[in-house]
Amino acid sequence: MKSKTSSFNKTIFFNNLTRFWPIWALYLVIWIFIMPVLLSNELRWGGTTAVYLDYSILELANIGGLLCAVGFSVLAAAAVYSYMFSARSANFFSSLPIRREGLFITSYLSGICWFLAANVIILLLTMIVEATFGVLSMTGLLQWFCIVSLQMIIFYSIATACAAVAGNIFGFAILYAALNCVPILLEVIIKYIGTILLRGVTYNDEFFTRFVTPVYMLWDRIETHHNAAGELSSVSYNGWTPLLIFAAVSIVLAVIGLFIYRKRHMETASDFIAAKKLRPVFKYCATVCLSLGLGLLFFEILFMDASFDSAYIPLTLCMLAGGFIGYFASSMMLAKSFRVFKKWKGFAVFSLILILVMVFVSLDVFNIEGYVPQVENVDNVAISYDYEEDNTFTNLEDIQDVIDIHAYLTEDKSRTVNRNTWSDWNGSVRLTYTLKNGHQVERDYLVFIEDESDPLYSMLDELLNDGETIVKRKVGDMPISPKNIYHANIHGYDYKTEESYNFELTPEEAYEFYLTCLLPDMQDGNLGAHDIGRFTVEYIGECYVSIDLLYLDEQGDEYYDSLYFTVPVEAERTVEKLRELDIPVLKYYEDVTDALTKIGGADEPTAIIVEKEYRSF
Amino acid sequence: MIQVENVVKTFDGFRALDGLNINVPRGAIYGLVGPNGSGKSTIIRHLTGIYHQDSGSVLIDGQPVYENPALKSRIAYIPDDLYFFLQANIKDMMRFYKGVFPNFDECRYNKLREVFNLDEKRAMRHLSKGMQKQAAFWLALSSHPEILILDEPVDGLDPVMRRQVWSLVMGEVAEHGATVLVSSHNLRELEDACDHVGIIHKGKTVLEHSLSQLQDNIAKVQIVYPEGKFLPDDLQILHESRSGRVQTVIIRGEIAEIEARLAATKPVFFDMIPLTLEEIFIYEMGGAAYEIKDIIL
Repeated sequence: MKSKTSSFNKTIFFNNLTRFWPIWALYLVIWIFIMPVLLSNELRWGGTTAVYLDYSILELANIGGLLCAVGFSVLAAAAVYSYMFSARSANFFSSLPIRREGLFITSYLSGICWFLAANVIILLLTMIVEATFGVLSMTGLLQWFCIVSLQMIIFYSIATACAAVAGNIFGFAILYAALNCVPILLEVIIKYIGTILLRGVTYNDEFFTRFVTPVYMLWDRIETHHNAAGELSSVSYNGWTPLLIFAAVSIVLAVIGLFIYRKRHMETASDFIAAKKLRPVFKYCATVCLSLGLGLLFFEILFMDASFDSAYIPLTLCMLAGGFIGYFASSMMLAKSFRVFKKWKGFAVFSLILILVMVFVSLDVFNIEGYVPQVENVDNVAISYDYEEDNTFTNLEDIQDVIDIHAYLTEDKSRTVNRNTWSDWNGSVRLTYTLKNGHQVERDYLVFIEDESDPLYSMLDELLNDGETIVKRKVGDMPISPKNIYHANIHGYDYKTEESYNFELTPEEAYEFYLTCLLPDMQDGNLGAHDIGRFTVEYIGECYVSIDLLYLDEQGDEYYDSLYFTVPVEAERTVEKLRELDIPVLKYYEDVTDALTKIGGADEPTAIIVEKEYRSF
Repeated sequence: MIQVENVVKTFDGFRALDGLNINVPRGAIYGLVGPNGSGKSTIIRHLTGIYHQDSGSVLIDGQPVYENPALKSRIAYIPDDLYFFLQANIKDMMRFYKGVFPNFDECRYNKLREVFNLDEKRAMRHLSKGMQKQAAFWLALSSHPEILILDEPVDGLDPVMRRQVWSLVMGEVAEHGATVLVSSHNLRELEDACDHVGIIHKGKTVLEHSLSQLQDNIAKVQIVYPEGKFLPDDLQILHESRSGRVQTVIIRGEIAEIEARLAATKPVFFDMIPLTLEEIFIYEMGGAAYEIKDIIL
């Protein structure tokens, strides 16, 4: 006789509400407080525009909605699927005349529907509040409803899939946390390990795993635009694509959870992972994760100074220790017993693989450390010295010069220093290649330059301190004109009077100063040059020139930029102008000839010298 | 009605059911007995659709139980380890059962209130174990089940309530033709209630008969032989003990046959003593290498 029971059971649906109503009640209360109540307070004070209201609502949807979704979905899922996590309740529900998919689907719907119902209530209440104050904005409110509801669907579906796999509440919580953050954390750790082991490898914030991390992809998705007066002119949510994709994928995950649940053996209730075939997956994932995470932690505590070649063995040992903990701790959780050490072969295999990988990395089998692009494959390259402005080159000759510097650094490994050590370094070279296939390659080297006879010094100086390159680096495409200059000054600190000084320049004065002094000094290579090795340039102490610009960019949006100089003694025109302006520091040093230090030789004192400017690392 | 054929179930390498066979006729009260760990609760969980067997079949009325809501709606199950919702009282559970079991009869529930005399508004977790069991019976019987599956049903109940419950169970069988499968260690009570018995050990059926057949197929004899005379060798002796010249023997076989056979050996004295179910169990399990061991301390 075919079952007449459908995939939904009304009794279970309402039973979940009566048993777990505090979860949805708390969710509703929190949202009522942060939406209609706070908004009504804001509107009561007056002065709130419709666009600012939309901004507030969308910000709440994005950030508040995301946090509520992450937290409340796991609470709701833990509640409605709690029957799966103990033998008594699992047996009870399994003996009821309800098919498994009916139970699962009903539990899924009972979680999500009450959240959606709460969202409808909040929407209606906020509509009433807005209408009362005459600022009803249905666009903002409907966007809020869609964003918050979709975010809830995403995280609740992920939690549902975790509940189908886990056998107890502890396993469920760990799986949920792992699915939401482990991929990106692993990428952070692997990148950081890369910077320890491999010369030139950089750590950047662009994560490949962001596409499987909903919290990361959905965070901070509000775009604002301001008018010329600095007022908010429009606001939009730019996360619809990832939101919809994640919603679709998470529903698929929940459906997969349903299939896993249908095959689930009820005798596995209260086990850490109920799905037997996924137990080895969990064990080895835990081993790898703890090997990397704990391994890095142990390494940082015990072998902080080790780097590059000297880091391989200690890091491998630390990762083996971390892997040991991961393997046997996960085995203990799965077996629900401490007696797991007899089954060590899996850990032995893992150890072997880890050691092999580390050997391959140390030999640069994967050609990461030694990789230097071919000039014909490069579209453009940006090189930055000491983390100052980028110098971007597009012509083949300059690109080849950069590649030559890169090749020099990779061939002579002794030139580079690890940032995690206390070794001396006096410069950094950062390279960003944009290849013709669209990929980007970044390298970052800390270097020690002995003196001006060092080949690296001459390579960098020739490439980066050419007048044209300096102007391109410092000025670039900035449209410097009196109408774009909104602020300019010369400022610093007077040691004699122990007071700060500040000379304001009008836009016209600043423009003239730029044209007659700053620009020609740059073109001569005497202003704005990189201090290669930090041992050649002497600056006028405590004297800074700043020109701030505000203009419209190509898209018609306002854009802020600035020119900023610390003035070296060689910048003759600039120094002369500063003297004319009666800059205090220059005044003092002119009077005290005995205090002049000498550069360039014992018999030829400089015109002006104050002090070396020391940079802190 | 209930047919379990060659069911095998393994838990992490341990074979809990090893080709188990059970046959419960319609309208019977079937007592499932066995030592601890023999697989009683395991097969009961198969019969209620909780577990799925690795091989073999578990059928009720010719249909598999697993994932069969129509069939499960006709079954009332009272486990040894009861479960109720955390804050629920009996009334809340009644509403739940009413929503889930299509045959739930609220009139019957109200009538049974006089029998069980429990405070419906008191939270289940505040009731004693025995009271919870009573509540479980109350709800189960209100569902008008065609099949009652009871795992250690009277454990924790006072003697008066035990009688009451058995009376209700037998009434359910007599009036509504329900089929009952009950597992218990209390063989004295099972003997009064059951008409069929199945003994299982290490996941296998040791024997399965109607109670009358069981009692007719095993005899307890006290016999005295003259000097030099002994019991015939061809008798299937399950147990033998001696007190002076009096031998007490448990023999498997038809009682009439055994009687005739022994009479033919011209003993000084012999007497056929009826066996209780408990004794049958003990002596049968001794045959299955689960005998009482004489331990010298």
